[in-house]
Amino acid sequence: MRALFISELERLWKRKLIWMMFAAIPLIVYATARYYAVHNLQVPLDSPEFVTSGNFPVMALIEQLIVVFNLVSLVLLTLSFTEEYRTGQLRMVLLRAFTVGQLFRAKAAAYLVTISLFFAAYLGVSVAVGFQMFDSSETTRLFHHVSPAGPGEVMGYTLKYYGISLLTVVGMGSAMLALAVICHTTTAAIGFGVGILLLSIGYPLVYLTFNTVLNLQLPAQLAFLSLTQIQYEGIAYLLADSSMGPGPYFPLFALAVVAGYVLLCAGGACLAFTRRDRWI
Amino acid sequence: MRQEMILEVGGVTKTAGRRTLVKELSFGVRPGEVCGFVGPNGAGKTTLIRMITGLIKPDSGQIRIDGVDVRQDRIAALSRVGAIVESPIFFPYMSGRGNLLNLARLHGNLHTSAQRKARVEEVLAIVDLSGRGSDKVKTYSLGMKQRLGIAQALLGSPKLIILDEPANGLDPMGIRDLRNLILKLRDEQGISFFISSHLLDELQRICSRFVIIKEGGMVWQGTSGEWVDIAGTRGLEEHFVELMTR
Repeated sequence: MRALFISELERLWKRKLIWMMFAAIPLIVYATARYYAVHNLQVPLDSPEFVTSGNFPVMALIEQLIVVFNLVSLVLLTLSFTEEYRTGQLRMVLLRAFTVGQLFRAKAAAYLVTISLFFAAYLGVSVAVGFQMFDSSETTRLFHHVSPAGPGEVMGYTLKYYGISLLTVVGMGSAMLALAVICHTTTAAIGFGVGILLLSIGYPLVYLTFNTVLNLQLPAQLAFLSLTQIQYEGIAYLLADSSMGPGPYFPLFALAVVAGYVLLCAGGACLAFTRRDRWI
Repeated sequence: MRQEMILEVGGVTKTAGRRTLVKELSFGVRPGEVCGFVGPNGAGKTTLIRMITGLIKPDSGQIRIDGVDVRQDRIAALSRVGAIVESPIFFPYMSGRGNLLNLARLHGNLHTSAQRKARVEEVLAIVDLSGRGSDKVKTYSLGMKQRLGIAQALLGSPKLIILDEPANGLDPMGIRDLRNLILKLRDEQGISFFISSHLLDELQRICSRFVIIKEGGMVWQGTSGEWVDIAGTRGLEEHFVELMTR
């Protein structure tokens, strides 16, 4: 199983596209920093949106999480599952003495390691660019926190923010994984993956608009059935001071949503990948 | 005493929807034997090869490789087999050597990096690709890909190699090289071969046994000599056409 995992990881990292995605991180972070440098002129100093070297890694992640990270996740899954399977390349691996379930787990593990490394690299570059381009501050305002936070608290907040973001990207990746396994071409997998991302972004807008306009009085929390909504607002709520969060049950609700995506979509993908005949 | 078979196919049937792709096929391949698997396009040859290699599951029947049932113990059964199913498709962004090193990781008998490198160089030399091993696979000709396909099949030191239409697209020299390679591996390493092909004359030169199928079912099986006797002056091709149009 370990050999299978290393083999998967090796093939993934032999692709130029993976290296290009990692090489793009400094550019993305720099562009984000330039945006915040201008944005800082429009927000008060005591706003959590005011960027310092301390909160820049989190702000840089917030800005790019929904699009960049979810798309990187989609590309990784499509390359590893759809392309290798549908072009017949995977046949060379499937003919070896392993079970198909082991292969699925090895591929999933290679994806998890690579997307985690992408987060780690993004964090490292953000810290460096943050110190280079923004002033430091004794204290930093965090979203939904009563009092300003010191450097230690900001560091802990940053690590938690990245950790939860990784979980949400993996949750979203589970839906994309199901598509990657089902779709017959990489174009279809990428297309449907982008479609599900747009659907996820659009759902809360539609839900909240109808809820308000039609006065349906449905719980606003249901907007967080969308993982991109959790990425957009939910992570900050999860890390909020207890007095400023959306309620005591929100963390449980958000966890259930992420777990639901992983169990249903990744579980379904695993069944589809392992149970059906492989006409390749 | 019954001789132990390296490959036993017993009453194997596969359907897809209402179509029966393979029906009640039974035959065996003995150790050190080169067995030709013949049938027209769409006869079910590749479907059976997919079942032998565990890519798809038979609806009924049993497939045993070196005495191990593929469905019951896929890992043990496949550890004895090397195969090319349809055309050999590699990871095009890697070199030939890189492909083999990546796949060599998946063989339990090659534990260390040194063992894997040595085995890869060995199989590259066997298929005469040492000089082009560092080139990207996407630059290889079809013949080179076929040879690399045999190299990857050899990685795990298999007892049985399954080749699906290995001569497709090869020029006469490529076909001759492939034939010599198969005979060399059979004679020097005692490897059994199960080869599907349309090239009857070519198969006649290397196969000691034939299995002929039509529309998924068995039409004839026997030794090469028996087929030549039955075909008589008509030749194998004429007899094969006769079998298919009967």
